[in-house]
Amino acid sequence: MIYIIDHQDSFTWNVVHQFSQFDKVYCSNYFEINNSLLNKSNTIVLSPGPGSPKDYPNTSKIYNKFKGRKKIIGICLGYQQILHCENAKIIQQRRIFHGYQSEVKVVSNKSIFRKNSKFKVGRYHSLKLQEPFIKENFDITMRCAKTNIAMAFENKRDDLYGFQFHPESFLTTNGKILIKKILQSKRS
Amino acid sequence: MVLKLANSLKIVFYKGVFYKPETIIKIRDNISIFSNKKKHEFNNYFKPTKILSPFKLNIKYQKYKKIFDIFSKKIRQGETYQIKICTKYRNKSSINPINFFWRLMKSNASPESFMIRDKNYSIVSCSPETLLLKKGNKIITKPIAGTLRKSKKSNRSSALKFFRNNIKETKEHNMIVDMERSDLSRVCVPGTVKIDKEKYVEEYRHLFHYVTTISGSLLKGITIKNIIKSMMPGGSVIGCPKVRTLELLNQQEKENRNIFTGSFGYIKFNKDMRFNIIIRSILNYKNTSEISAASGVVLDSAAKKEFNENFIKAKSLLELFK
Repeated sequence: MIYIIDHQDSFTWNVVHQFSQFDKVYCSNYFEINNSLLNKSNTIVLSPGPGSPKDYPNTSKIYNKFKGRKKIIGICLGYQQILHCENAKIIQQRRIFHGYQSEVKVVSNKSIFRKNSKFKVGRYHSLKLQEPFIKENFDITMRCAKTNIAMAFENKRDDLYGFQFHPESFLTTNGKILIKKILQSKRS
Repeated sequence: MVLKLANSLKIVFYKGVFYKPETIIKIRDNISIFSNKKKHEFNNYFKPTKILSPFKLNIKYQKYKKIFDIFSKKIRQGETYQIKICTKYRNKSSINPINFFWRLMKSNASPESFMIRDKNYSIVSCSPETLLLKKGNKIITKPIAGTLRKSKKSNRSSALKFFRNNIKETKEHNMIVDMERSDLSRVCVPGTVKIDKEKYVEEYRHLFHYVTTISGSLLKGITIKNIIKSMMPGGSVIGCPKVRTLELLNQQEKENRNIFTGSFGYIKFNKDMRFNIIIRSILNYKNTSEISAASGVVLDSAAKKEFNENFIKAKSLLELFK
């Protein structure tokens, strides 16, 4: 089962439907967590949402508790939330991307996606990861083809994945394949 | 999710009004009348229109700019991705709604037009926007995001070209499409929410709109209440994401929106229903006429342009008072 933690975003149910294609999904607000279902789930998804990771200490707690024990996938705010828990700095960016379709490129040969492959993706973010960000086992695996902003990370040892863009957006052309591959990937 | 309103936003008009029709007149190829009334008495008492004061705008440009700048900052901080500021034109008047409605239909007929005349209030609307249309287990929404003022030279295809090439309009629209997909997904079978017709142009008297049609198949066991809760208020008149954006709006908009950005529609006994978004409307209540309009703050928008857009949206209604 996949547990989706909703940070009261208006895109969360697109995420729910996308993951529903692969497994049973349960979704709740971040302040109304069903702990027994959360414990039973194999995968936790941290949804997009307004604000910054600092606004969601409860989600950070859940991340720290289950890191390494379950697959955890972060989308947009969720991606920033994971990085924030790993002591990264999440900062405002000068150019803001809301409702943009951009091209991202796989930049790491450690990625589960083929290096140099490109995807068209939808973006809704005011904030970004401050770089350099160096942390053991965390690889920045995708970047914006134009601006080079970090767009995805993978941590295969702890089974953690994050996208700054929105795989569930209608602006993302290969969202389903991205999610499928991540759900299938095994810890290494 | 119920949001608490600040005290300053006291309710001026009714929160909701329900009617059960006594008489239905169906105008198709022929006209048929269904009525519960045995003896029909025609109430031919019409109030004449009286305009007692000129229209005034409740938020002047300076104040608008201030709110606009606060929201722009919130967008930079990621608190909201798009937010709609509502301004109101108001005058002292009593109107003859039937006269107004027919004149409006001549000048600016639109797919979601309606009129209500009751003892103590009336509403005249040429809303173009369908919030939801439910037939059986099929549900459709048709969000509008994108407005272009008409000129002598413009036509549908030049409008489409404008919207397609305009990054600001495109991203504002994209956001609303993803948001409405999500609202529908909450009540629909996974995998059934589809974009039926993406980014097309509808033409009105003073303006063009950029529209997308999205549909889905309702989950079994979903109630009318579930659907209404998921879809209302329509995202295109609030901003995105809904809950946080509504909280921000409640802090800045000091007046209740009343009927504006609510919905008018019907629920049939077989649970089919249709609701619009109440925009482009006159509310006449307690000898005051109120016309509201909202336009969006996204990062690339200019305060002056959005402020003026509100005027274009209200124009065909303001003209009725001339």
